[in-house]
Amino acid sequence: MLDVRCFSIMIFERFAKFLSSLKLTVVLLAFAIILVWVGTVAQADEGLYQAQSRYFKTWVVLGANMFGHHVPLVLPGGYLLGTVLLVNLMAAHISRFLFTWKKLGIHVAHGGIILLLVGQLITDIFSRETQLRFSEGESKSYAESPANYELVFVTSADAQHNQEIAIPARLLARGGVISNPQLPFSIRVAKYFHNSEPVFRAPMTQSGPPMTTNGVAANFDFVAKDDSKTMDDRNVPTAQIEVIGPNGSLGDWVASDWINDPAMIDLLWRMYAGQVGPDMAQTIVSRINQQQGVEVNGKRFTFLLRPERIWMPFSLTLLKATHSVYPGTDIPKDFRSRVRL
Amino acid sequence: MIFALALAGCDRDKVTVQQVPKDDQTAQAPMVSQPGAATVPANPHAGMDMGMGMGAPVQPKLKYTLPSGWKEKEAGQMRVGSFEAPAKDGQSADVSIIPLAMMPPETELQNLNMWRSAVGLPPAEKVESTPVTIGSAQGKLYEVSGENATGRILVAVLDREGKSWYFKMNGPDAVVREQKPAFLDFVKSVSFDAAPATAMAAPLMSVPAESAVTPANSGGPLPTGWKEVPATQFLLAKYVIQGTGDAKAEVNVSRTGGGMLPNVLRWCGQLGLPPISEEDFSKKAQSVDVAGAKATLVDMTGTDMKTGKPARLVGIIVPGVNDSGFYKIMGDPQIVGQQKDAFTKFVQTAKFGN
Repeated sequence: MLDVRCFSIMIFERFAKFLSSLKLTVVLLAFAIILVWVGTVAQADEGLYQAQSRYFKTWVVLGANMFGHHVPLVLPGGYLLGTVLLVNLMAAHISRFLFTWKKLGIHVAHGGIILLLVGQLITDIFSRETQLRFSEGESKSYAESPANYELVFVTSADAQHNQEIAIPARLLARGGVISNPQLPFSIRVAKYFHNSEPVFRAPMTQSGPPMTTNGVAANFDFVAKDDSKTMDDRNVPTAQIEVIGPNGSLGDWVASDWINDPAMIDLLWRMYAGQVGPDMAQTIVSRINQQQGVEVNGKRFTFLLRPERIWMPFSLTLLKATHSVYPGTDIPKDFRSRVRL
Repeated sequence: MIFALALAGCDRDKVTVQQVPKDDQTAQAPMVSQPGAATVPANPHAGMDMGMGMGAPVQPKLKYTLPSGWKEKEAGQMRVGSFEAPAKDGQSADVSIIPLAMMPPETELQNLNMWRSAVGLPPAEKVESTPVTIGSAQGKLYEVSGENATGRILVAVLDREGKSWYFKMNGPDAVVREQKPAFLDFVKSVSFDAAPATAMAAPLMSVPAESAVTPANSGGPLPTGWKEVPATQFLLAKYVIQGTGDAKAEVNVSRTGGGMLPNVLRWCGQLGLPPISEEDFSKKAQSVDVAGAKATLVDMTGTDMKTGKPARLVGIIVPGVNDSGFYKIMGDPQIVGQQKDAFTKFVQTAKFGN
């Protein structure tokens, strides 16, 4: 019994010594330098958000895409490095430094680093990056995620409100069947494209069956595209879903951010206008600018795939937006927005 | 910390339900929907009414001689004939026959560029075609190919009795070239039996509703939710914005003389409002910049005298040389309020009488 206890204490002491070891600190910092370099180079191939997610917002990195090649490697990810660094710093501090006024400087310095690491972790867990796009005179009470999307089913709740049931796109990407008590039907995800583009099924160019004959897909195919890698571009997802009602299938449908989003519609119009002229472009985009929905038990549900919305308990109205440049140049001098909260 | 990370991640992957104020995004675009749980499948031709008209097809029956080795496929969609033309190496080309309502001459270049786009070629600036015998008549043959093209397309087009018949072959470059003689023989063998004597639905593509009266739209796409509808004889253009239920608003574009105030008084009458004096009008009217000129904007709320429902009207009068352009949006107050900015921008970019 005594031997077991002594053995346990010995193991604990060795472990504590390892955790507070300066050699461990050096090794962790070396890995951190390598990880930052790999993540920075990989950003060129994978884009900012993908690189952040694969190298820094993860525990282990398996493989990296660098200089156009896939490099097989294993590295500790940002979460693992940050966690162990934090534990190492705290353990070293506790084991080596007495809490006296003479050591105030080192306590403050280490405390600052600990605060940095913990603060970064809290920010990463709980923060959301969102954008609010509005024009002068417009009011909004929600912001949108630049990278995350949601499939939303909308139905009327009362004269003033709609009920929105939002399914994160991350769930769509996993496939399978999704149900919710607020929906009188299930959704089976047949396909999900993280990034996509629409192809108009012009009568003279179509050469195969459509994805589905319901809704917008009767006139447009949606094809998968490589993930966007530049900051002035973004992924536009598409999902092919089957809506399964209480009496059976309500058909396959395609939901995409290309449909209904005014910015994407405008982009499409400009693209087609360059190819086939403004009139034909208008005809084409009118075929995609359609509201899609199903009706179950007398209740209508429209659906759309859109950037994830974060609703705020207040609204903002843009009163005036100004953008001034330095005289005689295009160099931005001042961006200002006057808003009413 | 691992637990906190896991919890945070799970929370963001949940289905969320909330009540939100009604906004225009769920009310604007026309609706394409599945009618109920009971089975009526969506019209497979929904949205593809480009020239066919709705209801039973009334085009004449085609006869043709199928080249050796070609296989007939299920037509479907817009096709009245669908075939596979195989090549020696196992690849094949797709051949289709599609009748569409005859389009205006300017769509010829647009079609050509659409085919060029399909094989990855840049738009052409002029149309190039050669004569081709289709049945007993002469049509046009378009050959789309190029150095960096991803395939080759042959299209033989015959205009006949209000319709354009497209005989198209597309596929890998080598296959289409190999099958070209067979394709030409095929289109030469085509004959048309007389169509049954039934009334034909008005071809929708001959004057596409969405692109009729193009000058108003040539500054850009229509605002979201606007749908062009046939205009009456006194209007240059007309659009409808459908809301939920019966709620809607209509946009009318016209050009007329008669002065500004008499027309505004007419609007007052449409809203059941008492006549407005010139002095009051000058106080209430706002100035809007339209293509460098000062246009006048009026915003009035009343009751639609036709329907008896509350209505709001926003009108913009753009002065011209001999007459003025009148742009009016009128209808459900909420829709008009939501559309006011889009309506103003539409007027500012339109080219009617501006």
